Amino acid sequence: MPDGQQVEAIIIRVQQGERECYSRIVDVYQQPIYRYCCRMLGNKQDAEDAVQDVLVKAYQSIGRYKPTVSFSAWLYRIAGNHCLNLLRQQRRQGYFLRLFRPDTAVAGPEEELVERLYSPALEAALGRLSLEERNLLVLRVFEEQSFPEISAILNISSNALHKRMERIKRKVREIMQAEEGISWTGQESVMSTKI
Amino acid sequence: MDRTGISDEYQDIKAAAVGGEQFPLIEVTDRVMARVRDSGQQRSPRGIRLAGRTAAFSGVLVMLLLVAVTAYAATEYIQIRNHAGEVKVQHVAENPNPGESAPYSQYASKLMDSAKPGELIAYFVRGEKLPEGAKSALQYAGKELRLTDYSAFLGEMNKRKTPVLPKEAGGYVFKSGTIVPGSPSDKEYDTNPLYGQTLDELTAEARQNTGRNLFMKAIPWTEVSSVGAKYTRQGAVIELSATLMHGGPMQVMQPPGATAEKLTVEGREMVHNLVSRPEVQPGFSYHYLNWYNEQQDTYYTATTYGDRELTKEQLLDLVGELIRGGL
Repeated sequence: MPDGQQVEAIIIRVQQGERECYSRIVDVYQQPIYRYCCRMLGNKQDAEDAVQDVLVKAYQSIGRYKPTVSFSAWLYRIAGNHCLNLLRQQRRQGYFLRLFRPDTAVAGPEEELVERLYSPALEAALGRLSLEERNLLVLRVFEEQSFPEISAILNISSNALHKRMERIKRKVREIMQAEEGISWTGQESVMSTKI
Repeated sequence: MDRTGISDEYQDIKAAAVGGEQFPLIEVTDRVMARVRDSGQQRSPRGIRLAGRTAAFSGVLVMLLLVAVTAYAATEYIQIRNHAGEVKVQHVAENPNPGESAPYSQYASKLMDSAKPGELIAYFVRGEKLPEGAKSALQYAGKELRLTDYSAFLGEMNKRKTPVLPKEAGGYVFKSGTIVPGSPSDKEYDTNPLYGQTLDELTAEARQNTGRNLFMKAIPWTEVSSVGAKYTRQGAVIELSATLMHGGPMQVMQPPGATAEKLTVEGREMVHNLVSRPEVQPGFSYHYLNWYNEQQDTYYTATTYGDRELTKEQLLDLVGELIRGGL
């Protein structure tokens, strides 16, 4: 994987009209952006569509990219806005409650485990977060972005992010505990089972 | 706290979710690059200029994505001809120096952000150099309409008089369909006063408003650029795409590193494409089929991906079924 400097060098070439160089950017970022979109949208097929839309949008806007933030942060910002727009559309269309549906009907527990992205308790908790809260949780917990990185993506101060994250963490744990009737702290989850 | 300690701090929440390593590996580079190249074409004036002709519908459509041939076959690129012997599909070497995209293209994302799905936007940019071959400062950009209800998709296909993609493909169930508005044909542009009036309207607006340079308006559209459909069976996906050629030939640009094989299925010539991408993962490859339907003047692509892929034989069987069904 190219380092940040190499990525910036590729971006400059793309900005100068070397369109085909962009395939290297797609190669590098498709998997992390796909994973992020999966986490946000709760559906692998929608995420595969979304990652393509995000990478095309990024190309179309690449003339406006300036290295005052990392390219990765800029790309996550586009991906976040895209996913939030999709989720808002879904909410308007009235199937917000089905947001974290499995992709398809599945045959057995093993397949269910493959299809499901979250445990039922976490799924319930995510369903009760605001879309912006979910975005922050996904970036921080699952994408393991640092607070300065998230600050660059969301354009919110690190200090404010710390406070928000504390609230979100508390809220998620409360809902998960209520859903499961157990404390999750230190528990091994079925989701960590190797598949 | 930054990245250090994330695992410990959120261990319970992370444990309640599938780990990152358990997500399927995807490969969308070719599909994204096809759209990137295609968006460049849509930003060109009514198509690609080739051999002195404007090419959107009266000239040559260029299929910039897709296949390749092996080096030994590079001198004999694949052709598909119609019954009159005219070359309708021509594979050519990909231009290694595609050149700078037209300045107009910088505005495409802004257009697409404000366009509604299924809209064709006519636009004018003050002070920008026109793309090569432009007959007019009026440019077009179509925003894909995506439908998840098959009956609605069928209704749109019938309304737009496009080839009809089926509700099911080889046991795979319809997931979504797309229709991409196309720019007006040369004939329509020359005969329908709408386009001249729209340009007059936008340039008049530009004269009055000096605070911006981009002027746009959604206009009615009659030409379809392409229709596509996605079919799924659990995590496996089949995609069909139909590019309407509107009387022109098709050029298929071929990047190096793949193989193309000409076959016949149900009496129809087709091309099986195998693309190896070891740089993604050792041994990683994918494949798809293309064919030309002369009666519909349409170029089809069938792809297979997801957690299970059809073999070459299964894909040929599927396409045979689709051809028998009218594609």
